[in-house]
Amino acid sequence: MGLFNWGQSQEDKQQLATFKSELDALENRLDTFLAKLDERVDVLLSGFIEEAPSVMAEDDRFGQAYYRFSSAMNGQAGNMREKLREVLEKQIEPVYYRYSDTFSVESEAYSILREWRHRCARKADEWEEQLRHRVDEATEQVERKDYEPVFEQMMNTYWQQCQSVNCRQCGANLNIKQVYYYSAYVTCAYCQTQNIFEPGAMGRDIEHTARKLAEQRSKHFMDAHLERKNEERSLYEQMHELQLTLSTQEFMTKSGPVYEQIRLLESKRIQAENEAPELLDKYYRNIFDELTKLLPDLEEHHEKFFKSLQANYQRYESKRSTNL
Amino acid sequence: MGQNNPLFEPIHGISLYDYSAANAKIANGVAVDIICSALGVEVPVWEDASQGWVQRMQEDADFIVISEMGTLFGQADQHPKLGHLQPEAGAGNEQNLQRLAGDRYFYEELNGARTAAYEAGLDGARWIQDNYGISLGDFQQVAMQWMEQQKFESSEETTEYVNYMDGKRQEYAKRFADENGGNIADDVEF
Repeated sequence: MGLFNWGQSQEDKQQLATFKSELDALENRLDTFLAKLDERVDVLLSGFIEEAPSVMAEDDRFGQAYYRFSSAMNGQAGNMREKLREVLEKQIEPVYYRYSDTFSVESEAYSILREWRHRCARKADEWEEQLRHRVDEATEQVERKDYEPVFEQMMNTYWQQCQSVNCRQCGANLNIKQVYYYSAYVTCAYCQTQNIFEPGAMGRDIEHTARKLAEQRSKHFMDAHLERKNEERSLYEQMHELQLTLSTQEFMTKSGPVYEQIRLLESKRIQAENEAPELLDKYYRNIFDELTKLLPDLEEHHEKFFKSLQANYQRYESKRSTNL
Repeated sequence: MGQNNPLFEPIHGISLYDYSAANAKIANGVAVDIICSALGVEVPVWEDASQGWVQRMQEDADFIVISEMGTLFGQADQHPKLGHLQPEAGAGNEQNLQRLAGDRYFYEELNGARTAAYEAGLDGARWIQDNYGISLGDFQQVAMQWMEQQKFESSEETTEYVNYMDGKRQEYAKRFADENGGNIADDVEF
């Protein structure tokens, strides 16, 4: 095979056409395969969305049945992801390696081969990204719950229950005015007997539900934070694409219209990069402020918990070096 | 353990070792009142101390309390007051438990099986209990021992175990899928 000079003779042209057609056929099969997987994702997620409410309705307070149900959905999504990776590994990559060893890197054929491999890998990556996004969306839809009425109802029930707790010794009302999250000693104001007050499963869930509600009330900060992070990544990718189009002259002198465009993108990127961690900080700050409004007796702990969390997420903050 | 670190001060006389060993026993099915009686405290004292240890862990930005808890959790059976406690149903399968603690590959296999079971919609911890007589608490105790050992492993050894575990996960995933009538995309061919 005239591998280094395809296109020079009729026979070479024929070989090039055969080679291209083999790649096209494989790529078409990949497209069809991904479309078929998509249909299965539709079935999987619509079933998940449809059945989740009944699983949740009959679940225990720890949500174990729903955990198994959503794990199974994630397991099926993971199985499809593995299936796709296997196709890349066994159907696409061997073809790339079979030809790449025989082509000159300067040849047109090699360029076609490399771009084909890149396209196939990108299609797989995009499909996986889309799958992840769809699974996240379905999970969010299923787990979405308004915690305002849930928490309000919980507290009303707690206070109502407290009204009827009497001293085991003299029978006087214990007049409980504080939230107990677990069993606690409560002294009778009349006979000084130490009683053990057991707030029950609901009392034990108060702190967890308050946390969910505080997160719900702070979600807009998290959304804005993620938006800025995505914006930063998108601007960085745009810059990278433009950098690839720079001529050597523009690259060396760091000048020219494209370079100016890159600089403009960079200033927007830096702004997004600076705003993202500020918004994350606002998110956590707001959660703990809300928690303290809901459970004021835990204020001191909330402050310490916030500082501990803050030290951790700030520890992993990093900025890109774009070296413009 | 940093003896002078206030984060390790006992809470109502309950040390981090008491708290960690107690949790290992509770995860194994020992009742809370039996734990309290062995520690010589009433339930409200234990619960307040428990809550206090959870708060300490949440407030500890360097994770030293949780890391030490992991180590002590793995030493629950040596705890002077709680070590001998067993759930009412009795000890699990001692032979399998010993194998789990001595045979890293067996431990990794059950890890892989447990993940595969959850991904198949089963209760992975229950599956291990039913098939090998090893409770969640015992499993986690052994897991902590292996995690301690992992600190001294080379990256090649760690990779070897991770790959082995993943291979087993796939093997069990196939087995569970076959038992459940297959995966949703099994018939989708390239």
